[in-house]
Amino acid sequence: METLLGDRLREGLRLRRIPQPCAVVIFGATGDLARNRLIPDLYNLARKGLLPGAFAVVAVARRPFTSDTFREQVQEAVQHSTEVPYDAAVWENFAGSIHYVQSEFPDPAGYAQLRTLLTELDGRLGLGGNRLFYLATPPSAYHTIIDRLGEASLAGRTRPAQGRPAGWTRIIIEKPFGSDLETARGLNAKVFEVFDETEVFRIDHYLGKETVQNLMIFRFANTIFEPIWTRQYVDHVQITVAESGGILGRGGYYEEAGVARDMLQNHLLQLLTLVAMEPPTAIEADAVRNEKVKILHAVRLFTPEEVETFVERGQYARGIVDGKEVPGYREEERVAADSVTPTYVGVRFEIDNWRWAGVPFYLRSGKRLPKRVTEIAIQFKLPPLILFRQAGVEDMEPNMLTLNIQPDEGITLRFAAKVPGQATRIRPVNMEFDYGTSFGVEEPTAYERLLLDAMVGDRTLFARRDEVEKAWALVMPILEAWDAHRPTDFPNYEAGSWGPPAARALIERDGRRWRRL
Amino acid sequence: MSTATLIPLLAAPRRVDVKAIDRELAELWRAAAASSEAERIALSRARTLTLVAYAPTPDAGARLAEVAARTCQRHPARTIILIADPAAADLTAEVTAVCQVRRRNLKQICCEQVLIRAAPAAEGRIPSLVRQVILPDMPVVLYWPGPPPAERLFRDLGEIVDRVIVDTAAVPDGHGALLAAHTLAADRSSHAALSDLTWGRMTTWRGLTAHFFDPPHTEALDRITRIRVAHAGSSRAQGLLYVGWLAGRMRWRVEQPFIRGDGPWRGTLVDQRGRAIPVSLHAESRAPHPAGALLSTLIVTGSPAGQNSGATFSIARKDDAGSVIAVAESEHGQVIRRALPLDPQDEAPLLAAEMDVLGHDRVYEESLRAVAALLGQA
Repeated sequence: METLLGDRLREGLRLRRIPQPCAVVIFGATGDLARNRLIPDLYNLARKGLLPGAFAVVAVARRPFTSDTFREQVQEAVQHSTEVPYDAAVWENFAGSIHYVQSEFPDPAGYAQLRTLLTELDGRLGLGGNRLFYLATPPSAYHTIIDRLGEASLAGRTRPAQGRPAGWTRIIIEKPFGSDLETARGLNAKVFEVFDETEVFRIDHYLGKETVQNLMIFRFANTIFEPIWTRQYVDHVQITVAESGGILGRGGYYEEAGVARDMLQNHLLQLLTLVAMEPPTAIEADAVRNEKVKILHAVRLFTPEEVETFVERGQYARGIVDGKEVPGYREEERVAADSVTPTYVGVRFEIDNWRWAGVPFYLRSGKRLPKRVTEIAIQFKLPPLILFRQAGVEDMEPNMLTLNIQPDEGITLRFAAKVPGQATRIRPVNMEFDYGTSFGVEEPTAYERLLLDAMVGDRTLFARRDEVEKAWALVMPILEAWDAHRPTDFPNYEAGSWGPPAARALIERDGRRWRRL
Repeated sequence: MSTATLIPLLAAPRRVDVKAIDRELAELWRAAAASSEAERIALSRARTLTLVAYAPTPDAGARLAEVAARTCQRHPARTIILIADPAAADLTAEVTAVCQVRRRNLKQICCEQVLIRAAPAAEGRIPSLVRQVILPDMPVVLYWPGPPPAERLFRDLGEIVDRVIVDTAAVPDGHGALLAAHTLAADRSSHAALSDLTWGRMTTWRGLTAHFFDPPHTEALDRITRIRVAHAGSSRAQGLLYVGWLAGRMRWRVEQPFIRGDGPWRGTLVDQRGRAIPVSLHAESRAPHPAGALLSTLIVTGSPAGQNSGATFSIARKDDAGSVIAVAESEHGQVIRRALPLDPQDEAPLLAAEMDVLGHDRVYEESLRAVAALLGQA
């Protein structure tokens, strides 16, 4: 990591991770992600004093803005942000660092203009030649942009060693990283034509969330959990990424992606690896990612027949969510009237390693479910003997450890307690740790954290090439089986319900049930 | 830290027997849990440490109770407010709890408060009562909103706690307060770590100063030729501590301690290559800035070739008092300008920020040593 921690003056300051001077170049800067997330979050980093003194944002997009009109656009987004407090003086200063380059992504002239601007900023601000490229564009533009960056000598490998300031080059690539294993490999190959793996930051914003990072602290900084984090004590694990929203006008994208590409291949599998991985030798990028990849290798690959048994898909029909009637998926904009794109997936994975053999991992994700919630629940086995049967206690709830990721980040442990009184009555109680309650500090947003990590050069929370490809390898049998067998029952769950009936059957036939969230 | 509305759990603090404070607190929570269940409000008690705060008067006690309640938003704690009250009958105790509603999930987060009023004759018994009431095996922080005094009560409480937080800018004699803090920090017989709200008030200034010497200005750090610091009003604690911090970090030694008088204080530091660095400390009266607040700093460097014209690095508080402008101008005319909001300067967020850290702050202690040297007391 390249921080300025060695700086004598910074020692003892509580804001410790300050990146080196750099330019952040955002391709697709007029899109929703850049306008509503990346630029407000960069501004917020500036507000917190976490950006280097010499800093620039270069926005690249097709729309005909000038730097001034683009600043006005994003100022509005910052002012209307519910997460970022607006400070006029800080904005004025930050806005001065924003520059706009209008260009079609394939147009080499745009890259020449970009190179000239970056060279000028290097000289004027002393950025040291450090550049972070952010591809916030549709994935279809990735290949072209990477090619052009190379041709313009802007990519890491293509930058001349002589005649320019030394400096680092990094590239952040948004998910989806490919649309299947083959395209993922193709994109990796394309990236490696002009960048090294150490320069590539494949972003999954879930990994920037506090609870996800806390998962490693929770597991590996507490002696009481790790010994029971095994098949001897864990009955099963449930990972849920539920969304109450629909496809939010992204019909074109979603028709191509569907839930498996949008959620399963990245968010859900990332969460699975963090829950299941072995302790890394260090909390460093490669040590952590080595362990995550080992888990992906240990997840049992489905045969086509097994997909029928262990995976369920669904698509939402019209229904009621949050008290409002909402259209079915096939009624959404830019969605085919006979679309068979799944908006729900439920999977039962098994991990063939010493720690997890025989412990099912149930993963589910869907759109238009009753609420927006992301959590990992670890259900422990019941005690071997219910000692209280003679006292009339027949059923006991097993211990459950829940890691809440959104909307409220925290950890809940469910255990059994005696209800006060003469009779022996057992009631499950929750012991809650709520991030907001226990640490009333302003949490960075996931993108703030990851942007800063990329500027600092910390790749721990970004996916590595083999990780992405292995995740695709696990999803491919599902995609292939789904392509081979068109569903005949779509839409098969009502918006506002917890998914199709078959998804309940997926877990209930094992004698378990999905958590009621 | 936001300024969420504080909701007292009781209409007024409940007077309790000093020997049964713990039992009364348990009773308070039982009653609150029953009523919150009836009203279907999620009520959470959270406790991560014990905060002991000392108030020299009943009025200060009321104010501190409010400040402590606000820090609970960031550090849920059991708070013990010790109030010196000449009108108190020996030692009396009251308990209450203050809650804040989290907007996101409408949960009420509540922190318990114990108010102990002590007549002058009863002060000696306060530490034993504090020992009874602190949460077992959790960190204990003492907030003493003034410079460290020579009082026995302060010393005895210091033996109970893990961290002592003082405020050396709370009195006009800021340099005397810093010397007292230095003496306390240097006292190896005490295990408690020392911190200071004055140190917290300077966090933004220290951060911006550190930023100045990020690339491309890293080398300029070794070519500093002059430092000028201006502060509001007469208390020089912040100005002194800023210079002490720079001197300590840069391993500069004091050649000429500050010559103290009514005008600017002037002294001379010497860098590791033996070059003299004149330093001046200017008291300016500029509304609306609080007394003692840093107003501006200017660091001038020589050029690499050794000529006089080098880079300048300045930080100046804007007149709105809530933000600062930092400007770095290199010898080549390259200018980097930044605006930053100042860290909150109110007592509650400052106190909460100092409670984030429980161990010794070596850089603060080092800065105090440098201040002592700058005042000719090393």
